[in-house]
Order: sequence, then C-alpha cells, then structure tokens
Amino acid sequence: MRIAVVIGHYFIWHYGRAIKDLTRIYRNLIAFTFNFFSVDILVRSYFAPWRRMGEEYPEHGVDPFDYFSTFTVNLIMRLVGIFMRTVAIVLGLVTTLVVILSYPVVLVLWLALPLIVVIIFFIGLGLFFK
Amino acid sequence: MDISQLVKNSPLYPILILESVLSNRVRSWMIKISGGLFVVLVVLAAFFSFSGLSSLAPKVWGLIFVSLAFYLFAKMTEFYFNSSYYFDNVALNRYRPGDIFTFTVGRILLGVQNDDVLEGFLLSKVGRRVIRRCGLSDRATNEFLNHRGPAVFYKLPLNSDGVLKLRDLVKFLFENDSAFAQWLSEAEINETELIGAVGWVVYEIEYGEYRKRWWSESNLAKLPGIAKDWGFGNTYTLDKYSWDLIFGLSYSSADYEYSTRSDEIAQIENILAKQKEANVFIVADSASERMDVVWHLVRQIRDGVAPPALEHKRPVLFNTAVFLAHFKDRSSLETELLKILNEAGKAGNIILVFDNFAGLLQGMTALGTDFVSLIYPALTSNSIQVIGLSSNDDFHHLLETNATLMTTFDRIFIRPLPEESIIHNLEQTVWQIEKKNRLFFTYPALLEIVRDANRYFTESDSGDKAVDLLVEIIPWAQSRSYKVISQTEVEEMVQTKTGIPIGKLQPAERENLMALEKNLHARVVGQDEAIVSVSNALRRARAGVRNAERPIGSFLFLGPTGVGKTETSKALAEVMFGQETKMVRLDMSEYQTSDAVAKLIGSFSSGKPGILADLVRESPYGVLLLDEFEKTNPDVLDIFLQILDEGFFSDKEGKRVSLRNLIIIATSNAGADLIWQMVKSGIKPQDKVDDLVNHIVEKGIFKPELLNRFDAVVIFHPLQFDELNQIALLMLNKLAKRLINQGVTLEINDIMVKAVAELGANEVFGARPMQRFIQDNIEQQVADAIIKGVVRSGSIVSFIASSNLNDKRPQLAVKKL
Repeated sequence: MRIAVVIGHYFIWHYGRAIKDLTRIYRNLIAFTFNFFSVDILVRSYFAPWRRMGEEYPEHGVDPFDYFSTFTVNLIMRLVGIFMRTVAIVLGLVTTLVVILSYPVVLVLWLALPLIVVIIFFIGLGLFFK
Repeated sequence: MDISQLVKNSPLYPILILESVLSNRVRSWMIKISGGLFVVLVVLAAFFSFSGLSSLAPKVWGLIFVSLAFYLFAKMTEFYFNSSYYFDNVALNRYRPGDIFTFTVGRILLGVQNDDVLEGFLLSKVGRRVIRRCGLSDRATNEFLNHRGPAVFYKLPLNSDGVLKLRDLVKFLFENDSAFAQWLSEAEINETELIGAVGWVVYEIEYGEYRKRWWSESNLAKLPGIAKDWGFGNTYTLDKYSWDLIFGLSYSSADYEYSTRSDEIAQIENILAKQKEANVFIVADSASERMDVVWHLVRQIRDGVAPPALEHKRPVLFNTAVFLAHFKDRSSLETELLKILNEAGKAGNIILVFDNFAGLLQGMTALGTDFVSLIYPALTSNSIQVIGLSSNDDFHHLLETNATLMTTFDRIFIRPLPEESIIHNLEQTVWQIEKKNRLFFTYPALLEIVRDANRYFTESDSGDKAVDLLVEIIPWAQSRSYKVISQTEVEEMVQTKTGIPIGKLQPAERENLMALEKNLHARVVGQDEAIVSVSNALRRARAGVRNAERPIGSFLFLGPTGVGKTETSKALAEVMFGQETKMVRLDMSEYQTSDAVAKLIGSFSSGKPGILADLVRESPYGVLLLDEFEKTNPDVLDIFLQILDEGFFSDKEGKRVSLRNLIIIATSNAGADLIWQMVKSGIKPQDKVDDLVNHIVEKGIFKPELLNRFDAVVIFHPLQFDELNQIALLMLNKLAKRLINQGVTLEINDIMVKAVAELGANEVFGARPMQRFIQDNIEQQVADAIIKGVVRSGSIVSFIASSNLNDKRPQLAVKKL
C-alpha cells in the first residue's frame, strides 16, 4: 500500500513537475554554455586587438614609415582578435544550438523512460533465459 | 490525530516512504553497482565476440540489459527523490502550503512507534548525529532509552506558526520531557548546547545538499569559462610577482567558507566600482582576516554576483616580499614597478591586491624611492583598482599620516566577528579537519574553543584565534591518540598551553587548593592571616565564582620590609602555576617621574614600546608583582584603577593588553610605621585593617577607590623571634641542599639557627639581611675550607659557638674529613 503511494506520486512527478524541472535545467544549461564561451563579451569586444596588444602611435612629428608600421601591427592584432573571437563565437553558438536541439530528444526519451526501462528489463531477461 | 496519520497527510509522505524503503545509501549503491556491472559486461561482451565464444553472448547481453534497467531505475528514483521535493525542502528551505514539518522532522516522525517521539528522535540517524555532537555515545543513548521509565506522550507543537523544524522539535522535547532534560543535564549539556548541536548537524546536511545541486544557476556560474580575458591585456611582468586569486580560489579552502562579512564586502565593492580613485585599504590586525575579506570579494567576482563594474575583473595578489627581495638598487626597482603598473593599467581588468602595503612603502622608502609618487598616476586612473592590506598599527603609523594616500584610498576597518559567526566559521573548519584527520569534535568542545580563545589568548580581538586554537588541537590530540575532542580535551590542551588550571577540578588540583595554606607555608613562615586571605580569594577564583573580566586575583600586601611579601608572591607562582619563574616583577620605584606612564605603556610619539605592555604580552599567565607600589607616579596608579577593575589597559597604539590571566600583587611599605606601633602596643595589625587603610588614605599615599579595587588588602606583620628562627632554618636548609651537590654535608644545629636569626635579622629590614649573614658568615667559612682543602667531597661539617666571647658568629667545625 505504501509502495503504491510512492508509485502513484512518482508518475505524477515524472509527467508533471519533472518536465518543468527539465526545462529549467535546460534553460540553466543554455545560459551556462553561452556564458562559458563568453559569447556576449566576445561580440561586444569583437573588433578589439588580440589581448590589447599593439603599439602606440608616435606623439611628436609624423614619420609616415613609423605611422604605417604601427598601423600595420595594430591592424594585424585586430585581425587576430577578430579571427579568434569568430572561432570562439561559432563554437559557442554551435554548442548552444546542440544543447537546444537535444532538448526535444531528451524530452521524448524522458517521457518514454518508464516504458523503456520495463522493455529493456524484459528483453534482458528474455536474452538471458533464451 | 496520531503521528502516523500526521505523516500520511503530509506532502512529504511519498518521498519519506521511498527513503525508508530505499534509503539514500541503498540508492547510491544501486547506481554504483548496476553502472559498474553494465560497463564490465559490455567489455565482456566485446571480448566474447572477438574470441569466438558467441554461445555465451546472448546471456551476457541479457545481463547488460538487466543491469542497464536497474541503473536507469535507480537513477529515476534518485531524480525523483531529489527533485520532487527533497532539495527544495532541505537545501533551499522552501516549503509548500501544506507543509507542517521539514523533511528531517518527517523522517523522524515516520520512524516513531507508539507515538513515542523522543525514542523516534534518539533512534533516528539525525538524532544520533545530534547526540554524538553533544558528546554522548550511541551506547549512552541506548542505555538511557532502556532505563528512562515510561515514555511521555504529548501533543506536538504543530500548526502553531509555520513549519516544525528539527530545532523546534528538539527544543520542545527538552522542555517537555523531564527525563530527557535530566539525562542531558547529568552529561552537562544545557539547552543552548543541544540546540547549537542541532543547528550544526542541520547546517551540515543543508550545505551538503546545496552543493550537490550542480545544475543550479549559482553552481554552474562557478565553472570557469573560456575567452573571458581575451578582451583584456596580458601582464607578463606582474605575473612574476603575483598570484591570480580567481585561479587560486579553486585550489584554496577559502572557497569552502561561509561569508560572515557581507557588509564589508558590499562597501568594498561600492568603492571599487567607482569611476576614479577606486582604491581601498582593508585594515585588520589579523592577516588571515584581511585575506578572508579579499577571498569573499574574489568569490563574488567569480560567481558573477559582483556589481557590473567588477564583472570579469582579475584580482591578483602582489607578493611584496618577493618583489622587494628581487632588487638591490633603486632604479631597477622603480623601472620594474612602473612596468608592472603600466601593464596592469593596459590590461584593463586588474585589481591589484598588495598583501603588505605598508611594508612595500617602507621597503621602497629604504631604497630611496618615493613610492607614493610612483604609484599616484595608477591610483587616480580608471584603468586599475588597488586594494592595500594593512594592520591597524601600520595603517595608523605609516599610511594614515600620508595625505596623498588618504585622498586616493578609502578605508575599511574590519570589525571583530561576533561570537555566533566565529562558531559558524569553526563549524565549517571542523568538517574539513575531521575528514582529513579522523577526529571527531563535539559541539561543547567548539564552544569551549571559542570561550578559551577569548579568555586566554587576548592578544587580539580577531575571530581567527579560535581557528588557530582549533588547528593547534589537531597535532596535540593526535600525539595523545585522542579520537574524540570534547570540552575536557580542549580544557586540557589550553591548560597545558597556558599553565592556568581550567575546567573541572581534578583530584590533584582539588587537594592542592584545599591545602593551599599548607603549601604556601612550606615557603612562607608565619603571616597566617595573610596566607588565609590570599588562599580564600584564589579558591573563589578557581571555583568559577570570579569575574572573568578582571584579573584572576589582585592583592595589596602591606607591611614592613623583609616580612615575606615577595616570598608569598613567589610561593603563589609556584603553587598556582607550577614554577616560581611564572612570577614577573616590576620595581615601581623606577616609575616615579612624569614619563612613568609612557615608560610603562609606551609612547605613540616616540614609538617606544611600554615595559608593562611588553612584560604582560610575554608572560600573560602567572603572577605580576608590583614592588614598592606606593612609590610610583600618581598617573600610573590611575592606570591601575582600570587594570584592577577591567583587567586590561590600552597601549600606545590603542591595542588592548589583557591582564585577566594574571594574579596581580602590589607590595607596599605604606603604613609600616603604624604596623610597628600596633605591634609594640600589643595590637594585632590584622584586626585593624580599616584603621590602617584610613591611615594610608589620610596620608594621601593611595586613593580609596584604588584600595577598593583590590580583591584584598593583606597585612603582613613584623616577624616574631620564633618566626625568624624558622626562616633561618629554611635558609640554612637551602644552603645544606646546595652543599650536598658538592658532596659536603652540613649539619644544622640550634647555634647556627639562633645566630642567623639574632644577628642576621633587624627591625628595619626584617628577615631580609639574614641571607646576607648566611652568605658572609656560614657560606664563606665553608668556601674557604673547600679552597684550602680542609673540606672536600664526603666531608661532614657543622658550626659551633665561637671561642672568642666577643664574637657571636659561629665557627666552622669539620666533623669528618
């Protein structure tokens, strides 16, 4: 009788609150993935030089060669930064997408899980006693 | 409604049933075993398919499926248990409208049989944990349950105001079940300790469950991300002399600590979030308290809960000592420092924490560098924030006096933690210690640690000293093979460390206290009233009747010179603290001038430390003898008004110096003339203490308020002839002991005793000159004889009356060569 109470309550939980919880955990995971790859920071600092590396432009007098050399170095640093950030952003977005897309799969699996466990168990028994 | 019905009606009922059928431990084992079996079987199946034993393959596959089914089933029940309601209830303390008790209480109530709630509590897992934390074993609990008599039935305090928590249930049981209260009382556990132990156990459960919720937003935020610092610069030079605190947090026990300093952290965050001059001095005497605040700040930044201005900041701890040790000359040091500041500024996310800001300032000044000017541009820029850590002393001496620093830095003074927070910190530290060292601490032991740290280790107000004491107990307990640390073990350890007897009276100590007069008389001759008065005061102190916020005892010994005042003090040190060297002595006649106070407590202007302050810090436990107390400056006497009343004074830096673990004895010849007159008129001075005190007050030697602050004013009367004889005998015995070490036996006789008493003592100096007499007339003759070879090892010597009638000094007689 006591076990029956637990089983009944379990199914109420499995098809009710657990789905809500699963959705909440997924929300947390998506936020975590986004945060883990620092997508928002990378977008905001997309054009910044790689690790703020670069040279300062000469303060007095303009030597075209010096100016060009500094400009080139700084440009390269920005390009390196853009390249690295693009890689990280793409990686972050792909991972986030995988997490998002896995949700319906996991949800279907979750809904079918009690049945799957029973089926696996009986298949196992069937194979063992074959 | 009976208890079983109550449990059935609760929303917690299904998971309580699950827990009773498949406990947490069983579920955990099921997951481990079925998971492990699944992996092993998969490997086995692969092996069979490669080795050609295909006939066995279906059976192995069958087992694989069965073990997988078990694994999934165990996992599902675990998910169900944890997330259906358990975590909300236990880890987050969230309740549903229908809840009338917590999960922990529900578990106890589910196990209750015949409505005997006390039995249900004591036999439950959590109940056993609570009682063990109180210092009582499972055996003691079982014995109590077997012998407590009939169970008491009562109506539980439900539906009153909200959810019944374990704390409320145990408090209710303590208040309503007299047998339970009596049992605990016999084990010296009071209600506060019991409820404290409950709080500790509940906190341990809640904290553990909270940490298990890896999927929660706050726990996920703790995981470090990638690319967070790509927008900020590198700090190659700074990295050589510093340590990344966010990285350090993952490897530090600081991550485990509970924040008890949210006010200070919020203030620091506000300061650091300023647009400019976002710098702060964190001032506290304890280095670990200063760092504790920094760790909390670092944690806030890492967990993403700091203000937006501090998001993605990288706090680094600059190691001042390593940096200063690197350079011998000024220019390279300045160049490197400028490079570091420039780098940190360019990086754009650095919070520079100087572990010893004043030390760096001093070190740089010693090399001739103007540190403040060098660092000034960084301090006023918006690209870098600086946290300087400093002790109070260094801050007031070296930093506060610098106007530039004061305009660019805000100050946060770390307040001492309240006792509850210290206990809370200890509770967490103990979990770590218990895990690592296989020790078990009871809750009363924890309280004793906090109490003793406050009472006996008075060098600072820091809550840290309780943790220090806790950490010191570990090797001490291990060396004695103690596994359980109860209040008694803590008392024993503190007693070993301080020499002050504390805790329950042990038989040997009880005997010592009861025979205090006799023990003191082994060294002090006569002065019965004085000895009784001192002994009574000390027994009062040890019985726990004394006020812990005053010295152990304070006495004013009045009487002429050479009557045993100093000897009594020495004897007290020996009897109470085990050795005569536990007495420290100050000759107060040396503090007569107007600078006496500065000499004793130190001077802020000259920076010189005080003699009394140093002396007491070096010897905080024992006897403090203040000789010739009346001769000191009246300002000094005023300081003693506070010392005798409150047991402490403040030194030149305003730091408290505690004298609460000392017996203070002031000796004085004040009123000696009146004592002599009384003795000559046949009056016992001890019977006329009030007259003597009035006489001293009238003469303006001591103020009445000072005399009233002593525990006792003790009168030492001039010594009588008999007493002088006894003292002479004691002194001669001491000499005999010393001679025995040389192999020479000194036979003491009446002639010697009388000669020493009659010729050695005098009215003005009492028994004091007798020692000199022995030295000049007895020791000298023996020494001469040893040098001449008349007396050597194995000789027996004595003294006889001089053959010269005019010379009363005894003469050496060698009895055996």
